[in-house]
Amino acid sequence: MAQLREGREQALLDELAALPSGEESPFRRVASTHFCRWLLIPALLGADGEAAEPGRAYLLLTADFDGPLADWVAAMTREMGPHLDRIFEHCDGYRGSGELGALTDFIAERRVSVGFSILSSRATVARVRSSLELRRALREFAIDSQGMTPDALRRAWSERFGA
Amino acid sequence: MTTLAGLQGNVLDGYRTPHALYMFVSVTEARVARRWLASRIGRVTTYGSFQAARPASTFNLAFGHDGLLALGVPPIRLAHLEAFRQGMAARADALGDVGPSAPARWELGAGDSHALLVLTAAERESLADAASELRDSLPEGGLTLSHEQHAYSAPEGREHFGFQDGFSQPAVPGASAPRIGEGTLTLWRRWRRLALGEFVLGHRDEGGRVPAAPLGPLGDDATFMVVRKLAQDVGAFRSYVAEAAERLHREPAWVAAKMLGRWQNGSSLARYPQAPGPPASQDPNASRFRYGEDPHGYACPLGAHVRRANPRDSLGYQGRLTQRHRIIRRGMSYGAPLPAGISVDDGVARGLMFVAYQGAIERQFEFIQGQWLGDGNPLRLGDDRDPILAAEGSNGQMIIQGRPPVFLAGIPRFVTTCGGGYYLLPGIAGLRALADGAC
Repeated sequence: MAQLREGREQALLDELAALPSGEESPFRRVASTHFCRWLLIPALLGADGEAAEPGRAYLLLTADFDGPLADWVAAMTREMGPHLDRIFEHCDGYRGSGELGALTDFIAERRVSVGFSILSSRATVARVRSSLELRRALREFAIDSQGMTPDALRRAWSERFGA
Repeated sequence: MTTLAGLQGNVLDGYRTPHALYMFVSVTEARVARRWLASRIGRVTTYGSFQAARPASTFNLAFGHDGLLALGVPPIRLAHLEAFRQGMAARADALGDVGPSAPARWELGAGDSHALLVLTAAERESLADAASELRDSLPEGGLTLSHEQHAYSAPEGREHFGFQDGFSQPAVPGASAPRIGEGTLTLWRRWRRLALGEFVLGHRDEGGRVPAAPLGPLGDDATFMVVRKLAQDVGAFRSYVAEAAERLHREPAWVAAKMLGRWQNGSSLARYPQAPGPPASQDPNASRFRYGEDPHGYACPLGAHVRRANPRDSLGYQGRLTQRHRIIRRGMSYGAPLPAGISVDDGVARGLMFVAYQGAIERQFEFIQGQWLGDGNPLRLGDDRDPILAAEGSNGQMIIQGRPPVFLAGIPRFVTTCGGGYYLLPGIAGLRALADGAC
């Protein structure tokens, strides 16, 4: 969670809004990413419900990914470096994505401990994708093979998936 | 301060009147419209007045965000109500209103109007009289009628696909005679009523908090009303069910029941998995079941419409993951029924005027529509969507769990959204303040 430079909220919002989404999302190009989201936090509230630091906003990056942070940051930089620069340049202390170690340090220093993950298993993205593909293929087979006799079912299975 | 005395009628207790008229109107002259409103407040049917004496016709009115602004409500009083402020059309993608259901294709005037006036009556003539009087008052009341839709409750409460509808409404304080199974489960697996704040603003909800409401008197005894005009392709539904039944060597009634989660007489598959039980309308125990007793969906499929819309304790934790996502439904049919035995569309417009009341549009209607009906992941059903309501863009598939399971494929679109909007149904104090320009 990185503190924003003063008065950068709108510029950051515009930048985030301009990011392509869905199939075109730059996150999709980073194959080790399960989930990634940027949030602008306009103010941190104290226990009394008032802004703890009036006028200071934060950028929160939440992500679930496979492997160590440095590898993921390297992949992010490779696939979406210009995007990263245009977003993080609104934050205090950002020195650009050109220097790999510096970006990893920038993120690591601002890392917030979390108590949970959205992942329900430790499967990698690749494993999740192959499982989804397997499910799709099995379902397709199940639909096609409804009502078959056991022998016909066995033959159809072999033809579709091998012995 | 909120008391239920000012709550409009048909929320906690349904009118059960068989005839209704929905009038979508625009405010053209704010000052005149406020005066019109002031003259009408005494005619508004409230929760209390309907219980005291049933009128020949009922009258209720709700306002969209832009309608409240047009009447002079300062935007700051509504700005925090994100979904209400944006309106239904702006949130179409998340609701699955795409393709033929996209707002650009909605019927003229049927979406996110300034206000919605609703008349109901036990007799057709009473409704006609009330409608005529109300219609005549609009031009001089600074209001323009943009869309109008008659609706009705069919005999036995059957909607166009042939199912008795309206069961398992949330049990809530103030509602008369809810049935066991219509509230939420306690830790001891007993049923209790849901907190009033799930449906009426100004009261504590299941989270122990008072839900976000318009600031000032508009939030007293009020509720949010979601309205959708849903066209039903009855011919397509009957054709699909008949073809699937033939392919699977089953009865059409069995296929249809597995898709919906209830038999046509409203009896639940969870209670009667093999054959219809007593009609739900006559069975005091019709809602007395837990899906937790059918975890694999062998009785009621995991993806059946009613199980998706109200999964009860399907997701574990004694139903605590579902108790914040309930809605009170007051839908009625429109258009002439397709005659029995006909499976080809006859070109007649027919469908459902879906009406739902809740304390938080995002957490209740939108969550159900977007997450439970419009997706499969939250219910561990992959990318399957609701087989009745959410075929647009889906894989058109459904698993009927069993030994062996049965797979439905190629499910087409049966329902198309033709209009709709998000409204606030203010209490009497809110209506008075609105009429006085004091919001």
